[in-house]
Formats: sequence, structure tokens, C-alpha cells
Amino acid sequence: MKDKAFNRAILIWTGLVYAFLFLPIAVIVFMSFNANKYGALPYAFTTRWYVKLFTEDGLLAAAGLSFGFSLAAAFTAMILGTVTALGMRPLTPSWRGRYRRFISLPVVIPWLVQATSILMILNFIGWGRSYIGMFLGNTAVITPYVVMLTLGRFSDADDNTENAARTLGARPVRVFFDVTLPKLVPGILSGALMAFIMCFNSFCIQYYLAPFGVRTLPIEIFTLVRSGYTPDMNALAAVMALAAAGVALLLNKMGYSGKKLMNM
Amino acid sequence: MSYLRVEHVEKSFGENRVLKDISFSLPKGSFLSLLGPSGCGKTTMLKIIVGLESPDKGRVFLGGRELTPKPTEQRNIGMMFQNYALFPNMTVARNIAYGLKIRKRSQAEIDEKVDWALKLVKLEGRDNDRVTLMSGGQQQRVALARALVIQPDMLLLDEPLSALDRKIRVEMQYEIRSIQRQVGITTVFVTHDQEEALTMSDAVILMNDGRIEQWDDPWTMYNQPASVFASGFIGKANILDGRLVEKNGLLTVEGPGWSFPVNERDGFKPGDAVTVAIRGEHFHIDREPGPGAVPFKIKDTVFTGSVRKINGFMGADEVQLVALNSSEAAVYAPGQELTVSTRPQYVHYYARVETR
Ligand SMILES: Nc1ncnc2c1ncn2[C@@H]1O[C@H](COP(=O)(O)OP(=O)(O)OP(=O)(O)O)[C@@H](O)[C@H]1O
Ligand SMILES: [Mg+2]
Repeated sequence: MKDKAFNRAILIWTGLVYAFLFLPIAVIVFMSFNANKYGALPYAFTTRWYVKLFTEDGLLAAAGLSFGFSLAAAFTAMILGTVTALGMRPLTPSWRGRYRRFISLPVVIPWLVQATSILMILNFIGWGRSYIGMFLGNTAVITPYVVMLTLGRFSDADDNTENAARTLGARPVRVFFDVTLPKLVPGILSGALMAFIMCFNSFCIQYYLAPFGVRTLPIEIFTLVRSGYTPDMNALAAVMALAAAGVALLLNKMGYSGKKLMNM
Repeated sequence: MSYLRVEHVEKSFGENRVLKDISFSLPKGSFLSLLGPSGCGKTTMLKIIVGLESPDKGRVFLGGRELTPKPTEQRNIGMMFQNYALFPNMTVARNIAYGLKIRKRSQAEIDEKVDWALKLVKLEGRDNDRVTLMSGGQQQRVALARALVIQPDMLLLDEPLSALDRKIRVEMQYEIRSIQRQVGITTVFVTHDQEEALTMSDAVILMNDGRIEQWDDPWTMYNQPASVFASGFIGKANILDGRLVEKNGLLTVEGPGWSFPVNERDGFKPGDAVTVAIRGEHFHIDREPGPGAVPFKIKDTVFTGSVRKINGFMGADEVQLVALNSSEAAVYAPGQELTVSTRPQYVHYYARVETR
């Protein structure tokens, strides 16, 4: 019966962790509908902040910029990352392991450090803070996600599906499109999604590299918070939480169906 | 008339010499097994035939034409792999149709042939099933159908049954052989299971460490093993050290506390040190000592179902006898003393090799 008590304790603990993770989000959604400007009680329901968000703010424009920018960077990372992963395929497992660890460095090294060094390089070649610089810098730090998640789809040496296709008469290019690519697609897509999220979030890189006066969403929020918090940011946070939940659901579903598709 | 001909094939991976001067051939429509322990180069040999590896030296011919310069996709050789290698993103029917699609056959022809293949492997009506949800045996049937539907010039099977459990495996052995006969396709089957090789094949090639150890029909392979390795790998013979002597005008092999008359062999004479191989089931167990019988003391017995294995000492050597599970065999008990005898044709001997 000790087990039962122990299990219950663990369950309560799990509940607490979930509360810790999700309470802030719940509070912010709750407050985004509160009329009081300073987020104070008593609670009075309003959709004013949403109206403000979608009509007068710079926030929405910044969100749009961030979205488009991240989409472009993630797409580029997807192409670069997939090609890189494919290039690592013929390597022996031990060399592939070495490259994999090496390419994960940009994920591990603090972005602060990377942003500084990228800025130095950009200054050196005369581009300085610019869209192209921000784009290159961001793409560089998110590409490893695509590479790693795509590499994860490479199956063990025992997988002979490509060989089987060749014995059935398919030339190498055909084998690639009929067998190799479908096998990698779930990895490529989840890598790209991950890259998108990371790019969308990367305040640090963008703060360093964005051209003066250009505000991506993280920069805009940072600036607003410094000058004083306003409730329309709650509204934005709520909208973003909803969008992110959608993405998470999508990711999950893709991972799941990807697994179902490929489990042999 | 040989259909497949492999001539002096050599292959190394770095320092590792995997195939050492391999030559063999087989006639059209026949079923050959490549048998051997793990790592002896069986898969590499198949890959060279189908073109997934290229030999360092040597050539491969099929129907009189040289295969070696052609890429895999132009060889028209069907292959089945150990782990099925089905396309997980395609249904059963699309898996089977793949080779025909590549060949740009009409949809009507594809449908007809896929139906034929499904019937052949007894999977009628399973066209739209997901291959990933099928059992191992069913997946292997799909793989066989997929390989045969393109009407290949030859079929290669790389341990296709080793991932299946015993019952389905035996079923599939029978099925593969009967389909092979029905289609009349020349087949090379790779296995490390000697029983499987003996059961299924017209001919067996026993490989060891990149060389051909013996190439014979199953009966000869079992009854006249060409080497100590062959007697140990095919069935499990008792391997003993002995010496040839002449006794009462008969060539006899003698060990510590036992001796049996043997047939003469070229290159051997009395006085030679030899390694002797005698299968457990080739001993005759006698209650009453007859002429030429050797004393045998039982250490223990193991019941395995159809046979009873009897471990004990023949003179100073420990051997294992195999007796059919009869009421007679049931009374054998540890400590019991019997005598055993055998016939000259069952006693194989080879130049002495150090086995232990
Ligand atoms: N691509 C390769 N690169 C390096 N070594 C290889 C390669 N393929 C096979 N080998 C080596 O060649 C030897 C023979 O391998 P092969 O796969 O032909 O053996 P096998 O007889 O099929 O064994 P198993 O019964 O285990 O499948 C092994 O030592 C293996 O490690
Ligand atoms: Mg093998």
C-alpha cells in the first residue's frame, strides 16, 4: 500500500509541475479580457484590448514581420538542413556521429555569443545591421534543428528499402523520390517547424542584427515592456499561445502519424 | 548447362577479405542454398550477383551474358531481404505494383499481374492493407510477390525467414519452395540454418570464412561431409582425435578406449593422425556386446521430444548419441553401461586439425 501512497504523491507532484508551467499562460489569457489597465482587480470583462491590438497597435505589424521573416528563414533552413543531412548519409556511423555532434554546436553555444560574433563579421564585411545579416544569422542558428531531426529519420543499416527499389528497376533518382524522401519527410517537416519556432523566439539574434528602426515581435515587446506594460500585450500573448498550441498539436500529430507511417 | 555462373569472385572491405576466389554455377530452374555461419560472406555474395556491391575480381554470368558491368536496376533479378524491406508508405498492392510501374506497364496489365501475385502468395483481397500493420509472415509474402511480379530472371533470398517464429517459418519454407517450383525460377537462398538449407535445396554450398567448404546435394552434404567444419556445421557430429591403424587386415581408427573399422581413403595410411567425425544418430546402441562394439557409459540423457540425446563416455572421450524416442530409449539412465557400434561408412576422418 506504500506504492499507492507513493503513486499519489507523484501524481500530485506532476499536477504541481503542470500548474507551474501553465498558470502564467492561464493568467495572461484571463487578464487579456480584464478591463483594468493595470491588470488589477476587480475583474471586468472586455474585448477592448483585442480591438486595440488589431486596429491601432504596432504589435500586429511586428508580429506579421516576425512571422514572415521566420517563415523565410525556416524554409531556407529546411532546404539547407535537408541537403546537409543527405550529404552525411553515406558516411560511416562513427563519422556521422562526429558530424552530428559538431553540427549541434550552434544549438549549444549561447546565442548571445553567436549573435555578437555574427555582428562582428557583418560589420567587418560592411553589411552591418541589415535584413540580409539578420536573415543569415538566424538561418545559421536554426539550420542544425533541421539537420538533427532529419538525421534521426535515417534508419539503421538493416533497412534495405532503397536496395529493394533498385532491384525492382528504379534508377537512383527515382529511388530518392519514391523511397528516400518519403522516409525523411516527417523529420524534415518537424525540423522546419522547430526551426520556425526557434527563429520566431530568437530575440537575442534579432536584437543584435536587425537594422535600426526595424522591430520584429520580440524586439517590439521588449521595447514596450521597458516603456510600460499595456494590456494589449496580454491579448497578443493569448493569441500567440493559441497559435503555438495549434502548432504543438500539429507537431504531435505529425510525429505520431510519422511514426505510424514508418514503424517497421 | 549452367545458367548462373560465378567465376573467381573476390571481395575485400579494407583489410577484411570477405570473399576469397568463389566460383560456382547452377542450372536454370534449380534452387541453391548458400549456407554458412554469420559473417562468412553470404550476403556479400548475393549483393555481388544483384549488383549492390561490385567484386574486386571475378565475373558473374546469367544465361550466358555477363552481369558484372550492369547496374542493379538493369539486371532484372528479384531479391527478398531479411527485414522485408517493404515500402512503408505504400499499400500492399502498390508495393507489389512498384516494379511494374517503373517498367511503365499499362494499368490493366498491372492490375492483372498484381492479382496473380497476390493469389500466388495467398493474400487475395489484401490489396489495400497497410504493410506496416501486417504480421512478419504476411510481410514476407508481400515481399515475395513484389519480387516475382516483375518476372525476374532469377530470385535471390537473403535469410528471408530468420525473423519469423518457428511454425510460420516452416510453413514459409514449404511455401517458398512450392512457389519456386511453380514459377520455375532459378533461386539462390541464403541461410545460416542447416536444416532449412537441407530441406529446401537442390544443391547446397557450405561457406566458411569467405571460401566454399563444400558444394553438394543435401543428401551428400549430410552423409559425406567433406571436412571437419562441414561435419560440425551440418548436423552436430562428435569430433574426436584418433589414429589410423591396421587391425586384422582392416583399416581401423583408434582413440583412447575405442576403435572402429573405416573405409579406405586416398591419401591416408596406417599411422596417420586424424580427426574423426561420427554423428550421434549413426551409433547403434547394443545391450549385449557384439563383435567390434565399444563400451559406453551414460553420463546423462536429454529428452528433446522426437529424440533422446545421450551424453556419456566412449573410452576416455565424451560423445553424444542420438536415439529415437522409443520405449527402449526411455530406460537409459545415468551410470548405465552399454556398448555402441557403428558402420565404416558413418565414420568420417580427415587430416588432423586442432579443434579444441
Ligand atoms: N559495406 C561493408 N563495409 C565493411 N565491411 C562489410 C560491409 N559489408 C559486409 N562487411 C563485412 O564483411 C563480412 C561478411 O559480411 P556478410 O554480410 O556478407 O556476412 P553474412 O555471411 O551475410 O553474415 P550474416 O549471416 O551475419 O548475415 C563481415 O565481416 C562484415 O562485417
Ligand atoms: Mg547476411
